[in-house]
Amino acid sequence: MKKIGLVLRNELKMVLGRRSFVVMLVLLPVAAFVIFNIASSAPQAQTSESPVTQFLTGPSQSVVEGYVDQSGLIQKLPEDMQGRLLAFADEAAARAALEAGQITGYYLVPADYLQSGQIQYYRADYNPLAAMDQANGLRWVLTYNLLSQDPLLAQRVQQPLDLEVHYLSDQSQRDPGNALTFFLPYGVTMLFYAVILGSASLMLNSVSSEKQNRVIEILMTSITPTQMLTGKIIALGLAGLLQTGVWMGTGFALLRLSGRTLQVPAAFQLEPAILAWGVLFFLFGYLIYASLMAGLGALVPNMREASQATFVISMPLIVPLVLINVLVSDPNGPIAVGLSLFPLTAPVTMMARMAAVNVPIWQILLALGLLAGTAYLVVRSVAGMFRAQTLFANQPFSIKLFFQALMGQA
Amino acid sequence: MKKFWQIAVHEYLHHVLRKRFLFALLSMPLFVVFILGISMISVVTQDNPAPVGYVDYSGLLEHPVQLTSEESGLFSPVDILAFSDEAAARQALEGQKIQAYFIVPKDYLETGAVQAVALKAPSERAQSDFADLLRVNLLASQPDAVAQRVLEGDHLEIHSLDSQREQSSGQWLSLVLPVIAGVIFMIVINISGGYLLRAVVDEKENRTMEVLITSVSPTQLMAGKVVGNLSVGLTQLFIWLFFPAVAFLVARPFLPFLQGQTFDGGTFGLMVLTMLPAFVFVAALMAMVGATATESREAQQMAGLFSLPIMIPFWFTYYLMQYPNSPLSLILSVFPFTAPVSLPLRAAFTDVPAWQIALSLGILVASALGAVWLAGRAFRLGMLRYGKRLSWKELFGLS
Repeated sequence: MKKIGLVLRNELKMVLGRRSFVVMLVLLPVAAFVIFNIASSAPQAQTSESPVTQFLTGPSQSVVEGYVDQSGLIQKLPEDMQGRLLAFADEAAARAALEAGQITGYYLVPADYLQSGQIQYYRADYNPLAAMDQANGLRWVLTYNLLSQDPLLAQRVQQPLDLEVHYLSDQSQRDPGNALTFFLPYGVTMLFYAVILGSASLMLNSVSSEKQNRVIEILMTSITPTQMLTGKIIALGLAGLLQTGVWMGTGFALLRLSGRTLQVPAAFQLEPAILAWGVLFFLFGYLIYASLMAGLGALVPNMREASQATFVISMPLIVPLVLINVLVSDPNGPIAVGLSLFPLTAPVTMMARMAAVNVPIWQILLALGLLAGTAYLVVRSVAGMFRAQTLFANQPFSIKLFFQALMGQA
Repeated sequence: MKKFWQIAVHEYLHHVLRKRFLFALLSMPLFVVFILGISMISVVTQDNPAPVGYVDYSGLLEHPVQLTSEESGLFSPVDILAFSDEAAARQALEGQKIQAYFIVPKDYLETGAVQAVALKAPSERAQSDFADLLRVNLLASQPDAVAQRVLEGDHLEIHSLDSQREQSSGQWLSLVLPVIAGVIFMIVINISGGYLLRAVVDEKENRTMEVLITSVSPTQLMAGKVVGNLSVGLTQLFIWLFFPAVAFLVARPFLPFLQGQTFDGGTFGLMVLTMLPAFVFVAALMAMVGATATESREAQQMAGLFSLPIMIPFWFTYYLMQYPNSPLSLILSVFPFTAPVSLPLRAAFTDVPAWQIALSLGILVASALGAVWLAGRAFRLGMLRYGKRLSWKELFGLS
């Protein structure tokens, strides 16, 4: 027991003393707060041009454009377009005005516009992307005039559906148009993916580097492999927990703050219970993946050989990230429920679902139970793998060998 | 010269004839297919084909003109049913016969406000189909030609002033191409850079270097390695580009959305012109890092520093495309690390002044030459050094 404590303390000192760990731990929340502050002050900044926006977008210019109407359709400009579009009798006049800098571009509406729909658009800077937006002004003018200058009808045709959705179910529903509907579960998923994989690869690093520089051979003279494994798992787990706690706490605080300043709808406020569940899911997820990584570290002769296998091991963690669209759009659908019960994908998927909807409590408990069972099995078989023979042997590594060892056949 | 070729060919075959290379080669198309499959799955699962209902109080849809269902794409349109009152609609909703119903209020024409009642968010398709129905009926009293034009919208053709370049609204390929090329450039840089990084370190780690140096000169060795590893990357690039290009040419007559897509020769030429020196530039830097580092893990960490700035333009893609003449875009397209991705991207969206292209290319070529010189120097100084890193001071000959 004393030796486990020793390993634990040493590992903790190593991890927490690493500059990159501390920097990540502090920098991420700080960066999040800075970005948040910029974002929440953005509405004011937009009216007066800040240097940053000017740097990003270039000097803003008042946009006045011209048009040459050969079809005779444009009789009158709607009120909001007056002064923003100038009529020219022919193309030569428009081009002269463009070259003189009076206008930034001009449209050519041909005589057969009603049949062909063709519009030619000449722009000084030829930017097809900005042009698509800019042309909406002329589109509005054309629609207005085609519909015999009836502003109400023209407006309706352009925007026929200003939709407000009511839900019959009692569950608080989020507006699918709101960006947070997607980004909140996505953020939670990314966080869990990063934290679990991050602390698991710390494990791989720690085991394989001790193996590579042969320190392990001396260590084995005084402690047993199981003591070492236990000490390492607890120490790195604590470090990971610290990370999860700090990052999730920051995210939580930001969400609360933004509820006040950014008027984020109440449906996006997460319950505090999600923090507690988060800790549990992190712990079990970490236990599984860190043990797998430790087993990998015990088998590989050096770090480079491990990279291929880490990819295979972390595959199940990536699946929910790839399927995040499905998870967000249908968080209680069969794919989401299946993934959140399957132990290897459960930690990440369940958190994504919890951030999206209220998950039935029996599913959470079932997922936790399955996770705990799997964690127990994995830790046991990895402890079996952590023997002096494998730790010392310098045999070439293959993924097949890894799985054989995990099953206790090597 | 003979030894140089020997080294280049050895390096090339050493990587290409490996199983790992084949894996890497196949992984890209497989990855693309996988992503396509996933997005298909998410589109299909998000789609809800159940009909929608509506209750009309505005009188607009009293004698509705039905949608003609010719322009539907992948999916057939959602059925739209009329209900006489909300109670009936609600009953149908609770009986799961419809996925949602819309209530069109009396003052619809003035406000455009429509309420929907649903169990869960109605699918995009249902919403857009209902919007189409409203639009068709709003235009029902208009002459056919007018209604047709308003519904279809216009075909915008954008021209630059000298009429050299034009772009019609359906042509997305020539705009997407620089982004795709940038991504592929990134991947190839990472792959062949990784090879280069390890090429020298490997020989240092297993102490072959001393033996090698007895028979070839450092310059020969380095040049051979750079050429060999670059060819590996280019082989990969060629294969990845060749098959999609063939597929594109074969599929174009059959797939309507590919018709009318063309390449812009000028942008393409510019892409090649910027990416070649950039390739040499980054490769030489990677080789330099590999030569100064003593352990492969250390080298990998330092190489990360180089790939980071190449990524920067991707964070600002929106600004590069929407505001291609902003100070940011100018800086990104001149700075040698970001130029290979930024310059073609900008050029696709605006007429970049000739002096900027010349400046950017000039800086790139100069940096490439400088990097090659540095790499050679780093290699000569560091090739037999173990345990101690080559410092920047020594590299520039200051100490």
